[in-house]
Amino acid sequence: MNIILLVLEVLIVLGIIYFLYKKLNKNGLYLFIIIGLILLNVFTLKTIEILSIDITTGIVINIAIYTISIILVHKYGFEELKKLIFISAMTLLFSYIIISLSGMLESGLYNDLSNEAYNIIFASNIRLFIANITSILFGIWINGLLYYKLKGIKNIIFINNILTTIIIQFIDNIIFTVLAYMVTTDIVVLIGMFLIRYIIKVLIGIIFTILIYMIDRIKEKI
Amino acid sequence: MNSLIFLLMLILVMFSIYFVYTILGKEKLFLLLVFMIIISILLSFKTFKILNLNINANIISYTSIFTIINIILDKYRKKDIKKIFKVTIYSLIISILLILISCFYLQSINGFIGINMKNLYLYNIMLLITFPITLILTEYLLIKLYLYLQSIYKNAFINNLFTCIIVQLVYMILFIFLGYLGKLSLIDLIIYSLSNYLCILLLSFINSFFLYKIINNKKVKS
Repeated sequence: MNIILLVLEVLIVLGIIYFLYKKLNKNGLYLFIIIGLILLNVFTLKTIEILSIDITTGIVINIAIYTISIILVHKYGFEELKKLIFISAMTLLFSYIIISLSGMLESGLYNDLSNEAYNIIFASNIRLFIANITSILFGIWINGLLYYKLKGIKNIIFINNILTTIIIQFIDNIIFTVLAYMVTTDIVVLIGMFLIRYIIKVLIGIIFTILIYMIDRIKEKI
Repeated sequence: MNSLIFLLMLILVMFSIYFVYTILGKEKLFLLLVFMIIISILLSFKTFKILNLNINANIISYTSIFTIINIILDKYRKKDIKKIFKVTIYSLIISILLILISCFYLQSINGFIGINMKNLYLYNIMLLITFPITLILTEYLLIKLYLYLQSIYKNAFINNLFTCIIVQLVYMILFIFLGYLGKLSLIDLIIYSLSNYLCILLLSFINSFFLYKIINNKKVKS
């Protein structure tokens, strides 16, 4: 069931990004980045089981954000990466602060079940948040940088994207897994989580190469 | 404690509008609009108590959406209105779609957040349906009314305050009544709506003053 949903999510996200770029150009990509980053703050809290190993949700959005950073560097140059990092950092930080503050609010009388669920979800998740923000911001930065360097050597989207994905996802996964689960999780489980997360992310990253080609063909409206 | 957190959230939201408008420029306000829409969706599931009134947690971010739109509408271009609607509709559809997909993933045995996430979003499915409808409708009303008022009287403070008083009434009737229908008794629905409306009126007054100051600020990036 989860694998089917994962495939479905990949296709939906792929379609959404393509549609947004066609309708809003570069702003469409930033629109997805903002939605994705805010929702990632929530989705990384949920764990699902894939091939009997626990992983967090939001993997597809995570990879989509990396792919968008590559598209931005590919189409608009290295300067765009700095803007992306700034917007991403602001979005992650502000959304986390506001959501956490709302989680600290003493619940009202109405809608008890929701209030309780809300408080459980958004209370004390600082460790996951730090893992999320560190891995994403650092990941986006080196992802764009590596792609830019590879593009300078040889401009082949397919090879550059796969190479970037393989290397960067390895680093991203190490940062996230260590910061989020080290000490509290058994080392064998941790390695399993790392491997499954890494394999899935690399596979999705490869699929998303299609998106880079599709967007590369679109001529931007002025 | 709740009053303090509420005040802190209000300052944060206002600071973000001021920061984006003065430092990053009017174009980036569209991205802030997306940010506030997503935050409003997430916060709409929580009710908190302030001064013995039960209030929906999203009212700060929700009222700020209208402040942002009114800033955009000041010295507006016709394509801005189209863009506001496009950005709102895309953000709402994409975020709700992604939230629903994440709910349907089968959670792992060890994770408890997943159950709460499902409880929160699927139990409040009516809120997820009524929020987008209400937002689009109130945005349409706001734009029509604000532009009409602007054509006869050029005072951002009064125009914003007057539009908010009327538009938020529609929001209260639609969002609270339809969103919580069946969950609260009729008397509770009326009390809840009135409490929210009262708080929104206060926020609208503060926002209008803020809007007046921000629009007359000469140090704005064009």
